[in-house]
Amino acid sequence: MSGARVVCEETVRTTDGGLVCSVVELPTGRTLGRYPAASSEDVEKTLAALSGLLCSGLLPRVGDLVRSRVGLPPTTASFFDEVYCAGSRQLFAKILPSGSAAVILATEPTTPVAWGWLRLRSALRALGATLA
Amino acid sequence: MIVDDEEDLVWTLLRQVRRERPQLEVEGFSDPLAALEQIRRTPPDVLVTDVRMPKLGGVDLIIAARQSAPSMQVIVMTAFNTEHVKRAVARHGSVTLIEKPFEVSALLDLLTPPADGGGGFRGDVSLPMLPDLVQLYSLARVDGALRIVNGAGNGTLWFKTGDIVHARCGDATGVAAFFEMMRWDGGRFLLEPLEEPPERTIRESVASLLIEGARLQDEESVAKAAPVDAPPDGLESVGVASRNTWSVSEVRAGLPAQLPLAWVVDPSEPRDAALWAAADELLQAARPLGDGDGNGLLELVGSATGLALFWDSGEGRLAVGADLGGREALTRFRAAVATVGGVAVRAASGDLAAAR
Repeated sequence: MSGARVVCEETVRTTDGGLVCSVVELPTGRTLGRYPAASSEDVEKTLAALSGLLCSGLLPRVGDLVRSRVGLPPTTASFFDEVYCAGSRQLFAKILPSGSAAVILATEPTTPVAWGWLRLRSALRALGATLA
Repeated sequence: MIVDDEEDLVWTLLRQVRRERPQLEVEGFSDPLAALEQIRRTPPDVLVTDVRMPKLGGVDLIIAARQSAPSMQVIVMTAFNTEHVKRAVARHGSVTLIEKPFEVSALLDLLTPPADGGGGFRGDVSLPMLPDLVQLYSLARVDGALRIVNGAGNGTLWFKTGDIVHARCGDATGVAAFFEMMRWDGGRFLLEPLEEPPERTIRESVASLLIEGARLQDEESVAKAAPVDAPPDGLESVGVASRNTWSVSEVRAGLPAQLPLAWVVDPSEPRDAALWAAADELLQAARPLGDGDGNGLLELVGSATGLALFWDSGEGRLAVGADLGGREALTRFRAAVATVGGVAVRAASGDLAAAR
């Protein structure tokens, strides 16, 4: 899936503080493309943790419980499709509309949040054609 | 306008220009501050200035003068035609350097206006929006620097065969500078043809830049439209889960006034047990995403609901916004979470104790 790798490379290169961009198949967790191929241990750990969370089925379950708690009607649509994490690094993730994959962008904590989302959305548009 | 602290040189140049180019109106100043005042009153078409002058240096004069007259042609006379000087003046727009001593005829050549009808069209154009101007130059596949002056500051976009390759606005460069300029609602502009960009900081297409710029403006206008003291529009309920040492009253006290607490997810309440257990499971799964001190923030957003989980050193809190009314409400929720999670953001930087 070299197209996904190219999109990931462009995303990292054009993001101030961009560290890693990865496309993960859901729910298998298989990597469809990423750039760069390897990074520091702590970044790899956070990527693995987020990939695990996205593939675990926990998010839909939490979504169902929240929906029930606040009295929203049931729906088959993905309840949460954007994930943001802040710790020693920032992680931005978005699930493709098809639900078949997610794009994850890891950045330094100094990257502006709005800019991280902007770059991730650009990657999604480019990936839409690549993964179609 | 000729500015030089050497009165003899100013006098000589004035006399020569008036004799050789009688059609030109020319005035001279040996005091750069007086020159600047005159520029602010009546901007000249061309400024010819020395670099090293008392009271106000030539570069500072150019910076100040460009605020009032961004389209003014600038010629710098210098006996120090070094790379340092070139870089210093180049940062402030298109400038022609002429090295002292010079033949007056050389200066006169620089003052010669372009012949009418020499190809192309010149004139004033007024456009309602900056994106219209950017599209115009993009479609024309121009090379050069588009300088824009607005009440908020100055900015420059560099084009290369119609693509925007670099932008600078104040201290910002690249796309951040471009988006800053897209927020302006008016100003004056000048294209410096063929000026090379000092670097390349933008690789996006003009179309995608304009689309994203419009989207950011939309989000900003939505955020601005919300009254400060009112809860974010569309955010009908905010739930907060408290855990262990944080009592419900502590949670209520910790919430900003503009976010009414609609309900509390409390682990001791039977009806909340399942949600809290799931949130706790989420907290365990998310903990590796935090920092080395055990602090972190996890934000989940969907079309109808947003959820933020923040934790520090083993404790967690959960904020939920529901009935947000569609994707356009994402910005509102993020703003709300940023408010609720003011603690969380600081927790992520390891400063939770101070936040409490």
